Amino acid sequence: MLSYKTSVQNIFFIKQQQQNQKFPCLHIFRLAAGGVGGAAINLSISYPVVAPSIDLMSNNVNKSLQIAYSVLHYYNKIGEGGPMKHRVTDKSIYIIAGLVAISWVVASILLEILKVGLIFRILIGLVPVSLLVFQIILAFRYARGQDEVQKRIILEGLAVAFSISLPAIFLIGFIIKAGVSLPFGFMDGGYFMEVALLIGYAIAYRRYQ
Amino acid sequence: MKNKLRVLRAELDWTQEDLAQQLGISRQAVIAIEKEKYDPSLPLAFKIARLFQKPIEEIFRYEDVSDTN
Repeated sequence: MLSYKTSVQNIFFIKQQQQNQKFPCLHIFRLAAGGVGGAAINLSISYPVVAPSIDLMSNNVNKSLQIAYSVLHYYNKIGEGGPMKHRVTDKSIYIIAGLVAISWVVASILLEILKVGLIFRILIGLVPVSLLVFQIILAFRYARGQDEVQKRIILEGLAVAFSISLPAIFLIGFIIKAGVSLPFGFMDGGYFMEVALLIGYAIAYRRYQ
Repeated sequence: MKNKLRVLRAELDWTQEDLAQQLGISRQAVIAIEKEKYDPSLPLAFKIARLFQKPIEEIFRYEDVSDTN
């Protein structure tokens, strides 16, 4: 019969060993779920079942296992970095997208009309780009907070968008290089990529409906 | 992969939203799994099995294309 302390130590030892393996089962499950968060379900609570030499008929051991369950559950939460405290909402994505669009327009206008030094002009140009980087970071965090189907849709949407926009951008580039004068430049490729992302997302969304 | 998720859900008189909440996933994910357009991950499949208190193979059935020929 194992004491409470021993059984908890056993469970922690098993957990530690599983984490030290190159591909422990938990990580395979995580991989299958597409990473931490979303529907990556904490299956590791069932680990104590595999703990060896525990007399399950003993009430004391059962009680200690119950305590161990909760301890292990807490331990797993720590191991995974804990639940995402600040999950990114749809609203925050729209707000930052609006801010990016506004800053993009304002910066473009200011760079046209303002006659200031080069450093100041560069700083103006960096404002919308910084916001865009922030938006991309938020978008990643948003995607990580989604369940596995939505993650799949987002990823497939990105793949479709990439497949559409890359040849299109190269086509535009070669046409310009060939000497054709077009009313848009390479920077406009960014807008095209955003449109392509919407198209890709719509295609992927329909696939799973 | 075939599954009996819709049947099991109907037996318990749950809506897709109810099931989604129980599983901690979106309703869209439940729809995709029920329509067999998406095969759930192992953790999610185990969670579904645990929720309905059935073995996983009773809910999900793998059909190899070559077996049907």
